[in-house]
Amino acid sequence: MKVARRVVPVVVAVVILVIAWEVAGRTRIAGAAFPPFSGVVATLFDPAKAALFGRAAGATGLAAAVGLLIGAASAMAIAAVRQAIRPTRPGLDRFAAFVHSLPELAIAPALAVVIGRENAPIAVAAIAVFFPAYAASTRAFGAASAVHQELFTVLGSPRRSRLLRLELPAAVTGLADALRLAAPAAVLGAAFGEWFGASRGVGILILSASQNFNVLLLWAAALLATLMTMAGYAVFGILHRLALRRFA
Amino acid sequence: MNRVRTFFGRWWAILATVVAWQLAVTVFQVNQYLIPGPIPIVGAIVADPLGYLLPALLTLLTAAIGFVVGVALGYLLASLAWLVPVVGTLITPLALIVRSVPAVAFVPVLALLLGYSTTTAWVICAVACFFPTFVLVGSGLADAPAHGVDLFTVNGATRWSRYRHLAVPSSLPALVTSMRISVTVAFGAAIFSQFVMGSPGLASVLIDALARLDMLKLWGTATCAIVIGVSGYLLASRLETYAIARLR
Repeated sequence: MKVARRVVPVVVAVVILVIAWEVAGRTRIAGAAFPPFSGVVATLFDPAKAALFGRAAGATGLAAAVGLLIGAASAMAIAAVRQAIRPTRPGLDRFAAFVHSLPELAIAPALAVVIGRENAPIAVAAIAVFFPAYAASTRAFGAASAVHQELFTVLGSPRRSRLLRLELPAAVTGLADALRLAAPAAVLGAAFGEWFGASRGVGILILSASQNFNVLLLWAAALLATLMTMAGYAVFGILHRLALRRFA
Repeated sequence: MNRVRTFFGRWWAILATVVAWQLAVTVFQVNQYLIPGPIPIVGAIVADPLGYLLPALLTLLTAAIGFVVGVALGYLLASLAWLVPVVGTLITPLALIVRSVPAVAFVPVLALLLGYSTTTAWVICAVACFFPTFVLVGSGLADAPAHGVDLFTVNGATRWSRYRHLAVPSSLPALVTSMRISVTVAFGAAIFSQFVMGSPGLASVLIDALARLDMLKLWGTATCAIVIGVSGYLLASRLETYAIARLR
């Protein structure tokens, strides 16, 4: 019942949105650059374009996944250092805020020069992922209950075993949540990173379609990018749920 | 002495990154043409301050206009959704869906729909700020303390006075948080829209520098963008900390 109360309005909203989109597109109320929903979907699932979209989605998806792995792993490692060595905390928090407020698009060309055009999407995705993953990881490492912390203190446990036996297991669900929150950022970052010389990807598709004023292709590629961010969120949402079942 | 310690406590990780970068460039003899160290980059900016400042100001202005309009509209519409529940049940799920559309998808689409102009850049930044503000303020307004709601109900308060004296105060922390988020979002969206539309600003300088392989200009511009983005974020998060401490 609770689930239904949350899901039903969203489903209704999606239906309304799609109908409104279709009507606005057919009546051309918003001009020629606003195609109907059916036209966009037909373009996205056009068999003749399947290879094009498939290659682009594969390239961006792969770069996003690798970037997510690198970004989230380094965020978790730094969050673990922060947890273990208290004096490092303000500096590391400031560093994470710094990475978070980096304008991705402005540093992407420099990154492409440093690490190569084909690797830039991975690097930008990793940078985009870092902050949400770091924020969720610090929360996760703080999740061990005070009672357990006190028990470890009373029994004189060294810092390393406290991290390995208490804080890490207590953090697993939170770390899975970190991946879920960071997944959309990974797709976005990968697409940005493609714009400075990568040979294929959803970002490239969007950019070239918009430069050629190819309305249907642009909308279809934008829809594809949106579906990919949602898919990332959903996949890691399932992982989070599995972790909850096992560890909480 | 204490101030120095606090300063290094907060900045050590970022300072270490910059020093490590300069050391890496000098020690490992990397190609200084491709990857200049921080010192030559700062030197290049100091040698030609206007060449960096003017495009930065153009981008900043676009971001600022979009920020003000987007946050204000987000607050107004969230208030409307609270005051008129029918509107709320209609708009809120819609906003949640539209919010999950990534910038890489909606910015080129909006640019194509509205035509390439400065106003379009403002609209894009405003849209980018609107959704986080709407969603966060919406939950802030709904977050009014339960005993306060009971008291107002018992005394037969009107919906407006409940809004004015109960919901608005409880939404203010959410407003400052959404401002902190929107600062980064607005600046990113400004660079992004100017990149897509090729309008003057930091993005066009980046594209130009990349085309002419002027690496010092590329790195200098990226550095300017980083400094602006990071200081905007730090200012906004200081405001957030201050406001939340005052409000609670």
